[in-house]
Amino acid sequence: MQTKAGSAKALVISNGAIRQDSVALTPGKLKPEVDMNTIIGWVLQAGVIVSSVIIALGTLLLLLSPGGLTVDLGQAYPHSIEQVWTGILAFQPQAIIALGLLCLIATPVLRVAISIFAFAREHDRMYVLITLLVLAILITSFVLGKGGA
Amino acid sequence: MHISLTIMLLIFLAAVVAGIVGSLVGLGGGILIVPLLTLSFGLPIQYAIGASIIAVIATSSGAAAAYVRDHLTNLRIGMFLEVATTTGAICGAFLAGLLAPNLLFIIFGVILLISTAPVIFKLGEELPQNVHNDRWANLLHLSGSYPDKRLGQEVTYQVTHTPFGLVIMYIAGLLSGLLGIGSGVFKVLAMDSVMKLPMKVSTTTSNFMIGVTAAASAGIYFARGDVQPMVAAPVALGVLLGALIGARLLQHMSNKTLRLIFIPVMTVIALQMVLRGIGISI
Repeated sequence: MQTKAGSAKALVISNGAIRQDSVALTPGKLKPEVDMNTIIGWVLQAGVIVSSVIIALGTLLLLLSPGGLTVDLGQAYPHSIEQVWTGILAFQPQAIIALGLLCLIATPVLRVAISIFAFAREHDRMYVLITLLVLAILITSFVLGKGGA
Repeated sequence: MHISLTIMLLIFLAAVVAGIVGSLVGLGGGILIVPLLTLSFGLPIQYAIGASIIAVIATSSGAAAAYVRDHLTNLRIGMFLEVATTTGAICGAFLAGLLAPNLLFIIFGVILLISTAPVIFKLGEELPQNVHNDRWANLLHLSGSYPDKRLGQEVTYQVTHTPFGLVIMYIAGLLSGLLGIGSGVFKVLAMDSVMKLPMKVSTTTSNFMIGVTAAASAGIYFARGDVQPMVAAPVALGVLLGALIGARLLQHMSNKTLRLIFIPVMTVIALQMVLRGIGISI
């Protein structure tokens, strides 16, 4: 504990120096050539655009398909990755929409996964571990969701 | 219950309006989606929550992309606190499956009412003074800096009360998973009023965290079959479009008067949700 408090203090004092070489992920001071903020921003935007295009496409197909105009809410629709996959192979509009929704859910997960590499690149082992923990929690949620259904 | 083309179109238009209002008032569209789908369209609340959590991911990811590039977001604080929000979100999503729908209506109404408070009272400070890093902030390198456009300079800041902030983040995540909302109000509260971050950093970092938090419960809702594509598709696309329009409108108008107009509207919606939970519908 003693040493920890000591090193924490040292950090405050040499704050400026530490920041300069290790904090491209912190807002503000950045190495222009490795701007992870830009990459993360790009991933988020691309994820949203790709998934909305897929959702819009599926909706369009639904409107064009015979009998697609009225759907019973209680009727079965794909809600597992296997069901979505078989549905897509059968060209079902609902499965295509579900694929877009899954892409949307995957977008923040992908952002977390990419952050692992970003922190690793800065040799920030503590944040690689924290980010891995968040990713593990997210993956657990999907596994749990399946079991709890 | 059937969903026809007309109903899908109406849900889409309503979601556009929710997206516009949400971005103008600064609450995000999510909190308006559940009342809209349940009170106006009579959908079961679990489908409403399932669609709403998807819309929350869409709007927060879209907005976060811009903030991250402007270097306003503190990625370390966000990532660290996400440990608490995602854990809370999983608990919330499971709790939602256990609670009676009536109870969900009541909790939603109460949370909606609480969420309007910051629209009236300004919480926290733009640039808090005399904040010193606590032990955790030092250990986790939470302090940082951001370029303030209005001041025209780089603002450095420190972080305090990290454990308390973490606890509030767990509760924010729990509410997000339980009700299908972004619960940005509670995330901002934790960073702004408790951890004493500058306003711009706490609002943008909150937005950044909302997507990951929502993803944790969205997976559970999807697997459970509560994300009905026919409902979620028009909601997600509508809210996204609305948020884009709202962001454009914001550049041309002051949102102060708008906020004042929407407070009574939100209050009425909140009361209706509570009444619905008790079993009275108006």
